[in-house]
Amino acid sequence: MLAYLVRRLLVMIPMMLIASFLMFVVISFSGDPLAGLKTMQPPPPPEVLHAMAVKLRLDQPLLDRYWMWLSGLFVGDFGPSIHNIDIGAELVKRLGVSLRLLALGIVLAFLMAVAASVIGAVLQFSWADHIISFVAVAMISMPVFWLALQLKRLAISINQELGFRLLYTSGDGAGMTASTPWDRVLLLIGVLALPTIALSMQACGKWSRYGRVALIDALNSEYVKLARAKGLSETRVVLAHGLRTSLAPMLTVVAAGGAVILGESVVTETVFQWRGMGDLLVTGIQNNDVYVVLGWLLVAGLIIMVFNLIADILYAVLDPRIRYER
Amino acid sequence: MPSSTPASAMSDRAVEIGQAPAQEQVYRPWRAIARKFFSYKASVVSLVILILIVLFAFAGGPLWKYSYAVSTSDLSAPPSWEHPFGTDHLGYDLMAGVMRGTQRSLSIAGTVAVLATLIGSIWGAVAGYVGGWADSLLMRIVDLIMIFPLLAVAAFLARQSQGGEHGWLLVALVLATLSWTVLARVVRSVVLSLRTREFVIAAKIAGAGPVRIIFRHLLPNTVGPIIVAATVLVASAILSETALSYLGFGVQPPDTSLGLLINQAQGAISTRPWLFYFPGLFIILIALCVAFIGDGLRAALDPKQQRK
Repeated sequence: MLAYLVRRLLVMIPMMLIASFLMFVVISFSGDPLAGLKTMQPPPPPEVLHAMAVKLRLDQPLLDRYWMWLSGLFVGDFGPSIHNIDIGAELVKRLGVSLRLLALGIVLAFLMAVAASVIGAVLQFSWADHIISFVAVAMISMPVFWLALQLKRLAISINQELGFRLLYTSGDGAGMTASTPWDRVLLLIGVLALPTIALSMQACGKWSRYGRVALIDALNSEYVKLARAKGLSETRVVLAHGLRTSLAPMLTVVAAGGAVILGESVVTETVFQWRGMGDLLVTGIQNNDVYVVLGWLLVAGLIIMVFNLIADILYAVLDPRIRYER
Repeated sequence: MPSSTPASAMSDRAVEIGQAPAQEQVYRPWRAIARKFFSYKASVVSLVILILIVLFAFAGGPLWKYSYAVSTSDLSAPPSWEHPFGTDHLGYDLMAGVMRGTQRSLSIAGTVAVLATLIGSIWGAVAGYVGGWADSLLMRIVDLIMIFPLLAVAAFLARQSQGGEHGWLLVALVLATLSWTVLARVVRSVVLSLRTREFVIAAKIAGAGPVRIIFRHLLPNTVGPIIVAATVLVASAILSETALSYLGFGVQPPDTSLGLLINQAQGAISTRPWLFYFPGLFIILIALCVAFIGDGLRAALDPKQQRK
């Protein structure tokens, strides 16, 4: 297992290098980072434009630029920014904000998907199964931002009913302080509740559909028949024997959805006006700040690779037939 | 007749699984598949609703008395007979906006589905049939593209050239170049299981080159999985496009799309909720219909389910 882990981590290095080069080339060729500056009214003096081009290393050939960027990464320099943002520091700060949402959203989606697939598989073709299946498809078809806006509306009326602000409809909680521990918990729940629910719904819908099929397959298999024949309780059969192996194929789907959920977290954060990774990317693109976008994509790629790795490890833990030693 | 080519392709499959069609009674699998599809109520209802939405979007625009680009004197009017979907604070008729937006969103999703299906199927078929280092190379490229969140890359690329009459086409091209990878994986796995079958070997012995084998023998036999994957692609393209436009990086004003309409309405959620309900309803309806049509196609095209 350890050897496998080391090998997987080593493979990530060339993958990331090739990916970063590909990304750099595509982004460099996709447009002029100074286009916004050049169309400003009144136009800035040519010296300013030239200085900016030098600052963004546009006077250097592409390969040199890539090398300067790549070698800078190792000393924590993520490249120059049009708006003088310290990209490295900003990425670290924003990542801390966004990872909370991302981790919580994925865990919530997974738990709900497991619960839904257990109900759907055990009560196959019952009314509960039909309702869950329909809700799942509806969740998959609902745009994240629409659901998030809908939740915001709902939260406003809940807060009005309660007479105090339980659920926060904007902001990531930065700068808000609470005096007692109880207030701190309430604040955390109030800030995280809506974005987490909004982010998790679509993924939950997708994953529960796969989970239901996988669990139905598992419950029809020979070893589950044996477990039943041995007289184990139905709960134990479903949870310990059926669910355990059906979680493995579910994890593959979860891992494959990493990039999608990361993209959706950008939308969710935008709706709830978080100052996280999403805001960094959106303003970076709006300002045509290419090194911000490059740094963002690099971090996103790493997150997704690590996410895939964790899924593969859990896969082996869950399914005893899978062993990575060779 | 659109059914002539697929029918011959499917009879290949019939021969290959050992059910030679009888001389006098030609085996028509497409008719059986269609009958099966039409036996799924949810899929048929979805198909009808989707056709109605397409008609509403493409034929409704020219027929409707208001234009999405011309404001009226009714400001912030709630839904009424005069304005069935209401108007916004500048007096634009929302039904005209939704018609135009649906048109744009559907055009983008359709273009993405066609292009991505073409690229992905050919890519996957070549990788699966040629095998060896070419397969590794082609599939590693797929892995590389899949590392990055589609929405983030698409937002950056689509932003680079703003608006214009053909702005929507650029959004479609960007989404297509990023989303064909799923198709490549699906087609490759099917081709891998077909490449050692007798009909491929027979074609090879008869002197057919790799290009002919891929296009005449392999791809026609992967039509089922391709169609199913393509419907998933349509649904996800609708959601990606609306999310892009919502963030402000997709379709640009004065043109409009369903995502952009919601973006423009979000400041008025509590004062003019209709602005936000109708475009959202159309996105959900389209994605839902496509999903149910996909389910019906999957069940109708899946040979495993036919045996039951």
